[in-house]
Amino acid sequence: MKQILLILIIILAACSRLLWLDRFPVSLYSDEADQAYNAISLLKTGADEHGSVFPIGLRSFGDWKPPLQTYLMIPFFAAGFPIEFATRLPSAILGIFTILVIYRLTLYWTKGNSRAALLAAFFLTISPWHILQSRSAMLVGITLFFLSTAVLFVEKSIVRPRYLSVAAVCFALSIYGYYAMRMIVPLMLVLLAVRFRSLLRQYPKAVLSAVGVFVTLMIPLGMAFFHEPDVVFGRARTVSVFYDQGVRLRQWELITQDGVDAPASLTNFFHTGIYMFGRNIAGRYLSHLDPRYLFLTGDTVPPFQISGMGIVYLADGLFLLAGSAIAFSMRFREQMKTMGVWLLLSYLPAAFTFLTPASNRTFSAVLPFVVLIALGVNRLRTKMPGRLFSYSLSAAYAVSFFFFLYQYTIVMPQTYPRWWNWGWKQVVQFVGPIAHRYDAVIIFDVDGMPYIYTLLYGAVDPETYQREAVRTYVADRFGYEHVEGYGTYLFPTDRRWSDVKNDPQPRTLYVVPGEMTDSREEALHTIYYSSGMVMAKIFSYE
Amino acid sequence: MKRSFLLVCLFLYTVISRFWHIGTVPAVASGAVLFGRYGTGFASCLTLLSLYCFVRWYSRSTRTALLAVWVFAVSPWAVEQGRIFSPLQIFTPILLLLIWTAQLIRFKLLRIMRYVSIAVATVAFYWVVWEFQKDTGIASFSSAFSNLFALFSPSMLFVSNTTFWWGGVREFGMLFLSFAPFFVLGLLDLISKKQWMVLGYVVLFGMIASIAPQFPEGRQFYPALPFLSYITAAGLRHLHVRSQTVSLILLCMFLMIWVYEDIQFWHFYATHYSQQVREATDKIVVPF
Repeated sequence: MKQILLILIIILAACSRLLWLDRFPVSLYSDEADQAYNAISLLKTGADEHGSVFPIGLRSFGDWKPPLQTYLMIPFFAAGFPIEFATRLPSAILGIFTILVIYRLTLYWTKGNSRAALLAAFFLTISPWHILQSRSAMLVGITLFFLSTAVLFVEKSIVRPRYLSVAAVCFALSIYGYYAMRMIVPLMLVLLAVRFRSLLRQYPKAVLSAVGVFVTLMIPLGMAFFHEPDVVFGRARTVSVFYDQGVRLRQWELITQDGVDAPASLTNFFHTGIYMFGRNIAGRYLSHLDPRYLFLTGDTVPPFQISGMGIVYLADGLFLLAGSAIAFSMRFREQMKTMGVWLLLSYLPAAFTFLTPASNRTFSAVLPFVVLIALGVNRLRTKMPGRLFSYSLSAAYAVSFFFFLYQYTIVMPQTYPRWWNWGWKQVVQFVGPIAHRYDAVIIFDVDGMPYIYTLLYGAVDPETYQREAVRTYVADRFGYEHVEGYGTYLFPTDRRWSDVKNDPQPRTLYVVPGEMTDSREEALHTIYYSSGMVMAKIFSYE
Repeated sequence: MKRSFLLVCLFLYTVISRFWHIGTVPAVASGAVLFGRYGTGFASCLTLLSLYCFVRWYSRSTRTALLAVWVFAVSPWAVEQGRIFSPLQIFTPILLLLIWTAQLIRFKLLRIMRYVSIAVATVAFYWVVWEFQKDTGIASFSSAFSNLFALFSPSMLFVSNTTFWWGGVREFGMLFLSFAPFFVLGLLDLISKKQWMVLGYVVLFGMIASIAPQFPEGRQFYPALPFLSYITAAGLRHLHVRSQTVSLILLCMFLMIWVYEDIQFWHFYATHYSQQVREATDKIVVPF
């Protein structure tokens, strides 16, 4: 019976993660498009868009994306899958496998409680947080799989120590999967080393072998770091709280308010950077436990937003609390400690950035969440009349799940297509066949890195692009590096259509984002969002 | 003897922290308000004692009672509200005394009547407060829901308490940030032990504050503070772990962080908060 239920859960997971992968989300986000093009480039030329041969870090938009997901896309592009499918399938497939992993992991953590394990698998299957990330190639979906598999194999190594090497491989792969793992994994390894210290004494060869495997896999990253430190840190510098001037300005303001008569030593004591940054970081850490973020508003940064709801269901709230209390009462069990520390570590990397709360950077918290919810449901089930509880629970989650599906498949595509940079594919499909008639195609680079869409949907040969691309490698204030142009395509970032339209260049096609144009302006072609608003206008000057 | 001494020290701390420069920090607009402040300060000191009695009865632990009283005495919100004219300060010790004395009543019917009287007192007092603040109506269901979540957010509890915008210390939460881990531990501890009364009162006052139409102005939530202090105290008891050395290290670290945070609070309160209130006198409609 349990096997049948597990199979049904996997079928539900497969349907919710694989069906219409090209339509929901409504478009490839710029990061997805970039990884897709880099995968194609690696497949055809062995180098990324910048010409780096099989790089350890993808320079991309200057954010140095971890490369694992891109490499995982290559077989799907080689097999001829459509662009959107090839881009998202690795994340979707590994998202499904993660459900199997959480089932096994929950069995270990609850000492064989198969009901709790099935519940955890089910809650992960219907989790809006997990569905959103599994159906997109935003790095965290695949990373979660490798992280959870690593922990699972560490748990299994109690019986078979040779599994430690498998765990080491998975930990290493997770580090190649997402930036946050570069902070979480080392701390997690310390925790696991303390917890499994008896294993260290009993099976030194297996442990040494695992350490050797891990270190070997980290060598390329280490070597790349010496060549280019940003390979390891990515955009960490520009998104970190220490880069944001808010704290320093506030510090200056408070020092000023102390007055010129206040002794400098006292002022420095009261307004130290350590305290102010520490408080700021602690506040950002705790913001991820804000019930409004969890249940009502969710992540406010597109494309990680889910309209009309939080990242977990409202119904999860009660069970999350109950499950946390149960885990707390079992806190002296080693497995619960592992899960607890996993949850606490998940928020650490995001706490050091100024864009909080962040659902993608804290995505590894989704597994402890669903386990806690499962524990809560499992315990409360015994406290209430059986059928009443089952029917109520089923009704609550059915309503929640279908509300999420409604938001995800109907509201978001119709009302918020801009969150996923919808429209650039349509632009390229129109511009591509006629571009040869013009000396220049100028696309205003306001939002969404349009150059990558012209490359991907225009099927631009990677070798040609690597040769022709003009880039200054100067980062903007957000740390992104823009492309000036390639071939006849130009992507100005500092020009306004209002300046250009009165004196346009001849034999030029202009692609202008909707917010720059006037509704009265007649264009060669206009691309509309489903709401009727203008996404872009294409102007032709012969 | 030792515990009595600690209680006396905490009481003295409360008296000093509530009455020191009561007329100047923050600046007071009129004599009537100053008189009100003395009443509030007195009520805040009384809250300390009633909280001690309540927690000692409820948890059957003098240590927990002392910890709860300490958390309440030093909490930024208690200090800030205890030094201004705040009618809810008068209601809070009455509430705690009513709850505590209810358990002394042996007869079930009388005990039920006592709990009814608590409900009546709560409704009557909030009705007066509403009238006093000239509020009309209540917030919509969706707004109230969101407000409730805002009240229970870590930001409101530990980082930035915005329940009294022009007269509150917005740089600090209701409780100190260093108490946050213990609050979480205490919350889980109470849930696992099914101590629903305390949690029930916190939720009750949260709901009352969340339906106030002028939210995020939400001082109606203040009577929950003693219960929040108790939750934190329950978590502080978990500072004691198996290893004495580790316990000592954790305790020292916590105390260092808390002492610095408390000093920070008093500096902020006496210097920056005072200045903030002085500069916003044209925006303050009801003097406090």
